[in-house]
Amino acid sequence: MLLHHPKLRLRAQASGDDLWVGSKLGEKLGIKTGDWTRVTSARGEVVVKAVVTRRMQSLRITGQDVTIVWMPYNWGFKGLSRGASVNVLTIDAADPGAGTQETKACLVQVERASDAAIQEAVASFGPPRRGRR
Amino acid sequence: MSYAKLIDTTKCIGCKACQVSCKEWNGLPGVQTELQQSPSFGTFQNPTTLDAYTYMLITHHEVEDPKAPAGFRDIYTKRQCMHCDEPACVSACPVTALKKSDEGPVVYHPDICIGCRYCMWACPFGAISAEWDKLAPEISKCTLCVDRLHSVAPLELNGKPLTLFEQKRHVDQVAMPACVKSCPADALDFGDREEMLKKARGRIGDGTGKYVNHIYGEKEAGGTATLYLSSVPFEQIGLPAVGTESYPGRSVAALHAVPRAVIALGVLLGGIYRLSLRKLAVAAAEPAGAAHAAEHHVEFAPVQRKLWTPASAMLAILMAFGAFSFIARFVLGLGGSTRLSDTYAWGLWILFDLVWIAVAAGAFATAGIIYVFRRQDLYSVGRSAVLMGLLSYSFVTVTLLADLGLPWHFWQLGTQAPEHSAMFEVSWCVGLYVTILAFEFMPVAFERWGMHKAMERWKTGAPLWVVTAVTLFVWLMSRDLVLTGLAFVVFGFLAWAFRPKGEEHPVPIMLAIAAVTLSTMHQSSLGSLFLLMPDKLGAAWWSPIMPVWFFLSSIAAGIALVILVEMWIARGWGRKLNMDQLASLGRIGFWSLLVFEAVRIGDMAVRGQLGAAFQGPRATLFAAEILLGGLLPLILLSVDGLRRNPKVLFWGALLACGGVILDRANVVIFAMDLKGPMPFAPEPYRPSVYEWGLSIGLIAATIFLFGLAARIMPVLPKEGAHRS
Repeated sequence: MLLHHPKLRLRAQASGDDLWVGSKLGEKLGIKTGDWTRVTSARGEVVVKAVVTRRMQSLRITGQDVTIVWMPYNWGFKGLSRGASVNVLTIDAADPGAGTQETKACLVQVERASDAAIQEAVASFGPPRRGRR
Repeated sequence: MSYAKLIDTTKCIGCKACQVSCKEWNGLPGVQTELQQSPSFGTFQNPTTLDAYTYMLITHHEVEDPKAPAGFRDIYTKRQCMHCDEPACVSACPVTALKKSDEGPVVYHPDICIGCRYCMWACPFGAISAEWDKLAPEISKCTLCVDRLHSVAPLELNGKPLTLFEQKRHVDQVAMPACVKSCPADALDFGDREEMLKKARGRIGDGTGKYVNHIYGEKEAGGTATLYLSSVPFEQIGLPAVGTESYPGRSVAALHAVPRAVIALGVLLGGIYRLSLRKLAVAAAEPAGAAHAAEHHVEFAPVQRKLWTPASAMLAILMAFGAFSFIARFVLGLGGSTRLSDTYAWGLWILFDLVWIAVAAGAFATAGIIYVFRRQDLYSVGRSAVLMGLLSYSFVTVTLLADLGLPWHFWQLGTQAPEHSAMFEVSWCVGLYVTILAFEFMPVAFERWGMHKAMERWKTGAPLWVVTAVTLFVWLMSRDLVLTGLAFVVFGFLAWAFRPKGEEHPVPIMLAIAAVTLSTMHQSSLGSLFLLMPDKLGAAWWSPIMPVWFFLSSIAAGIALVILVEMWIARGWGRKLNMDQLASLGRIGFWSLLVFEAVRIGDMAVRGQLGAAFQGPRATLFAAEILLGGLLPLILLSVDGLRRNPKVLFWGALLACGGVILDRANVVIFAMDLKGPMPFAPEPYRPSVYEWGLSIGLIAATIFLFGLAARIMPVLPKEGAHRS
């Protein structure tokens, strides 16, 4: 069913393959909504736009502030709205019996993307804009 | 019964199931979207605005709330066509392609639509979009799923016959808009409007204190078939304050006055002509007067000049560019060749038409002055003014043809009967006036090629055509047999009373009366076009009497342009300036400009806008219009001594003309606070090369063809035959 297709619903919900960054972290990195960021983990890297939002609050764990960021999963390499896949960053391990993925949380490094990286990202996922102009 | 949709924004969870099911039911393609970055909207809004393929949209608002965990709350609002009870778009449509059905939906019929996009600018909510990427761009908007409302239940389901009860239940589950059907949060409700209102009032009064005490849509813009409930003031979630007055109400009176005004003008002009005839007869009876009358006999002759000068070549190049742009418009489509958008649904071409019609008013103004008011001393400018009018109006029609999205549907203007559309009035009135101009110009061609028989036929044919055209026009505007009959009787009587009595050169009084009457109607109705846009047009410009000052300013601009053209002809072809005549025209220009500016300023003062107009970002525009384009030319043209000075007269006429051009530019572009497509994200506009190309090309064509016609036909008075 189209209506309940997770990918379609997600695309309607989210704006793109963006990285949600808390206001504090955004301030620290000097980025605002719409700026490109480079997100790296031990397994790979993606270049995505940042959404700086108060929605992302840091976690308080054993008396320490732990900053977290969030990315939607399942963005695609095909179709109208293409974008980087968060799977590149996360852990591929799955339950050997059921095949269920491991919890998708992992350690990442967030920084401002270099101009070259932005150009590469735009070239590979850049919008083939519908219609005119 | 009239349906309505109740949207409870406090219940919406922002899942966008409605947005998806809307696309699904209406078979709409996906659109490329980008990260939402506008500060006016929250991040979850996607796409930013409605477009041709997005009939509805869940908007996202982050509303400050100190009690909420992160200091703000997410509120989602469902936005789509409001299906107003008295829709501005329906009132605007010149072919009734948009209709308000008794059941509530405002329905679009693309097979009738001519693609004028007036509805897009008329809508106070920005709910209408156009398919700019298509060669035949239709408009698009929410249908309220009118195609689901009359669902018929199947007689059997899965091989089992359905009982009547089951059939009814099946229909009850389907016969509602797709969005309502798919809402999992009970935020959407659909049913009889009264019932929905009752439900909404019930929720407001339920004691939880969750809602603001206001049902948006109950009275907004005269009431809409979409009702909203909210926990925060509606401005915070992007619903505009549109007032409770119905939008069409503002232009209905002006348009309903048209057929009566036609008849009244006929009587008035006929009466004035009769009186002036009498005055002339008295004057002619005196010996001095007879000599005076003879003096006005003017002989016209083709201009003897070489055609291919560098200037003509330049004009020809511009014309070729215009023709190329015209072809490009149809090859690339309206969206492909112009930079028009859902914000600027109208652009340079509409501005160009408005300006050109205003300055081409010289044709009717001189016709009226020469024939109705019997100012025979101005007779010699008559032919050039009419030729200029004919060319201008013809090319306005060409521009309109290019500007229409679906011009091949233009014949629908003849078969549909909108109740009060200014666009319909303007279309018909301009169309008929072009035929009147053609009739006015015909004798020049007959004279040139010695077509005596045709000339004889013209003498009786022209008044008959006037009666037919005016009667037809009154019928189209009123659809009332009494008024139509009255128009026929009045103009028929005038045609009979002023019938040619065997003179060689009968006064084309019927054509002059028709020219003045029809021009008065469409010049003013061009102002009525903007009566539907009080929410967009700046307060210094929008006024309930816009039709009046559009008409008055057109006379001032028209006369000023006639002066400029006469001076240009004299300069370009090294002819002698007839300063008596030009100063006379300057005097008429002065008075018409004075009346216009008095009405304009007076209206501003009455509405209490005069002080505010000289402040704010548009103060310069307003000041330029009033001081440079009004006060300064009034001073320059104020006394006869100044008017007789060619330089002063030139500058006075140029400024007067420029003032009115600036006025139109302000109304269409500079003073317009366009809000853009729902939920109001305006885009900027810069005309494309083709838009400039066609506009400039057609101006060049007017100048070139005027020069050509003046060389071939006796348009201008014979050189050296001026009276001293």
